[in-house]
Amino acid sequence: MGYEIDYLFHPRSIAVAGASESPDKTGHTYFKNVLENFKGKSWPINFRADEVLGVPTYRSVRDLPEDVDYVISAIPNRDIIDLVDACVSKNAKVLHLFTARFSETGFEKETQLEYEMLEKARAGGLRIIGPNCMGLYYPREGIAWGRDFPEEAGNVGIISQSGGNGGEIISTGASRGLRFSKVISYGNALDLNEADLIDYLADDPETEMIGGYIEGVRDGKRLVSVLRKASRKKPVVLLKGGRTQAGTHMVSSHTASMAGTREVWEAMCRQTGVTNANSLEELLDMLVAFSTMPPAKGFNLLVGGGAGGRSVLSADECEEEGLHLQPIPQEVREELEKQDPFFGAWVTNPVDSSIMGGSNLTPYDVVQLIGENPAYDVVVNNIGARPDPAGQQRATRMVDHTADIADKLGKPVALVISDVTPEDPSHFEVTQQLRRHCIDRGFAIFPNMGRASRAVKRLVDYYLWKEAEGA
Amino acid sequence: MTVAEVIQKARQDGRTLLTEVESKDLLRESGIPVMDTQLARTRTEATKLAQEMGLPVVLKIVSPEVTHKSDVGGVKVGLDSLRQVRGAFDSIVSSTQEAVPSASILGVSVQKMADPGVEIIIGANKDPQFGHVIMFGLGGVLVEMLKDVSLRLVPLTPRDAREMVREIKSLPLLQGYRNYPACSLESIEQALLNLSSFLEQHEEVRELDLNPIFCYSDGLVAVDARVVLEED
Repeated sequence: MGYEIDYLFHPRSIAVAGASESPDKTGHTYFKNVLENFKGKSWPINFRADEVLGVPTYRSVRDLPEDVDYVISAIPNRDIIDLVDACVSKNAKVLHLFTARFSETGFEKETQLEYEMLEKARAGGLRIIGPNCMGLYYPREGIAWGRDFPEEAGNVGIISQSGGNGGEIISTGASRGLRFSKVISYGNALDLNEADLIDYLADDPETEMIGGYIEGVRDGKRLVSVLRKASRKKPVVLLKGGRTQAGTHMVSSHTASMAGTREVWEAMCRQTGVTNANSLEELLDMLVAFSTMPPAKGFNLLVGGGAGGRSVLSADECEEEGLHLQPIPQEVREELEKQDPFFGAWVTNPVDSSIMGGSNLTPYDVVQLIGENPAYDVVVNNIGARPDPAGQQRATRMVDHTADIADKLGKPVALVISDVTPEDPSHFEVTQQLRRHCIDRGFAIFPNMGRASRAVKRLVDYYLWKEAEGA
Repeated sequence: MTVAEVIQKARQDGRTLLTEVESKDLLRESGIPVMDTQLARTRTEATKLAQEMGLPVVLKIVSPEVTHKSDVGGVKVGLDSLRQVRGAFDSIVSSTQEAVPSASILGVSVQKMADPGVEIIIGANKDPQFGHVIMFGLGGVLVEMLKDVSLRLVPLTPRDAREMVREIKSLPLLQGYRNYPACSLESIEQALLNLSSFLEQHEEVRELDLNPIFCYSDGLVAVDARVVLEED
């Protein structure tokens, strides 16, 4: 299995069937990306045009001057059987089908065509990715289906049954600082399915965490065993589409009526150590958390940086998500009182930074002094940034101080920065600069304490699960 | 009857739904304690069984067409004289006939009245993607209303069983809340693990409810059981 999937990521040559001269066609985009970024050989296949992007075309894969490893298909489904035959004749290892309109239509003729295609591919030793999918994004080899995807590679591996959701995970994830090892949009999962791909990513040294968007499960029992294995090695975060579908047969028992698609999926995630996300936003929050924070093994939290009301709300949200706002230990309080008797006696967790005016202490000293204590597992710092340049400069200083503290503590530290869209467009730029600065300094950023708490809680859940598994 | 006999009999009759007596026969193999329950086809057989088992006893209608036995007046509990047993037999049969005229009545089940305990439910069904799923929750009529249940896929690990028991909101009720006696959580975990192994060996079981199970400080016993087989 691993052998064939390796060809998926390390082809020596790529042919694009349906490579088009028209920039509006996906066949054009695929070939353009391959031509500009892929380091191996690449050929456009087009039975009408003589050249695409200045490269002479071949009428068929059969006409290629040598064997080809990887073929991308952007041709209509009516020509697909011929293409499969041509791929087999040229010893192709993998065929990626952007081509759609197969079993997903629900029609008999198209479903039959899909089956026929699979039979032919299997007989010829050709693996299929898709149909009905965007294929690969593998920045290390310069393979990408989207023009705006980062060229820089990272450590997040993604499988997505939907190309649209896969693209959104990449683009939105990139803006939150994520970089990707390998992303596979796998569509109808006719041949290579979710279990094959997760199994591969679990063993892939370039991938340190796995995210996934899954609609239908092809082989439930195998997926469970693959996920158990994967989660013991690295964090796995999955978002399931179609959670509310009713069961497929009529049920009459108590158990059956209460074990719907969603409930069974959640149970499966708990048993396999998978972090279950309920939205794309949550999926990204978890990938951001796993990629920026070191393992934490407890729920005792210190919250800093908020003033008055924000501190109160922060406390509520943390407790509601199952985190514990650990009171300040006696020995820490004594130390604080030594430095400032009045303030030292007053300060609580969350640390209300607005009460420190005129004291001998700064909010950073306080957060560092308290956070150092082994009673605390995780620190979340509010960066109360006003969306104006002066406010942002102050916020930048706060971020730098927090980063220094985070380095010293060696504990997970997350930042909360409000997602306020400023009325003045120039302020927006400043806000973006601040975010970029936070990402560069290696922080997980969340737009509110609720999302930060939820992510931290589930990060700890995962590491505790892993520890209990002895992994 | 052995498991094979129970299944063979149901197949012969063209049924997938097993009676309470058959369901319990089937489950005896799993190692989960079930209340000894026998079928009485006549009033005289019922009295004889009650005498052998010792009073008080419980009588329930046995009919493949009746799912919710108490809804049709098909359950009589706390019968502590043979006169009451005879009366209960007649009353169960006549009220079932009245409520479900089409029901084929195989007889009435007789079992010794279990000591009252905290009621739980353990059940299972088959998910089309993942296979057998086991459910645990508080039993009796509350299970449907509160939906306070935990689920896990088969096969269960000891850790899964431990988590299932402790995950429900009603856990304090099992740990000795106010005048409730504390239950043996270990017995519940063991029952869940036993059921998991049983289901691994019996793909032909499609749905299963042990509802209620009475839990005690030193064990538990299933007082009612309902099994649905896959189509042949």
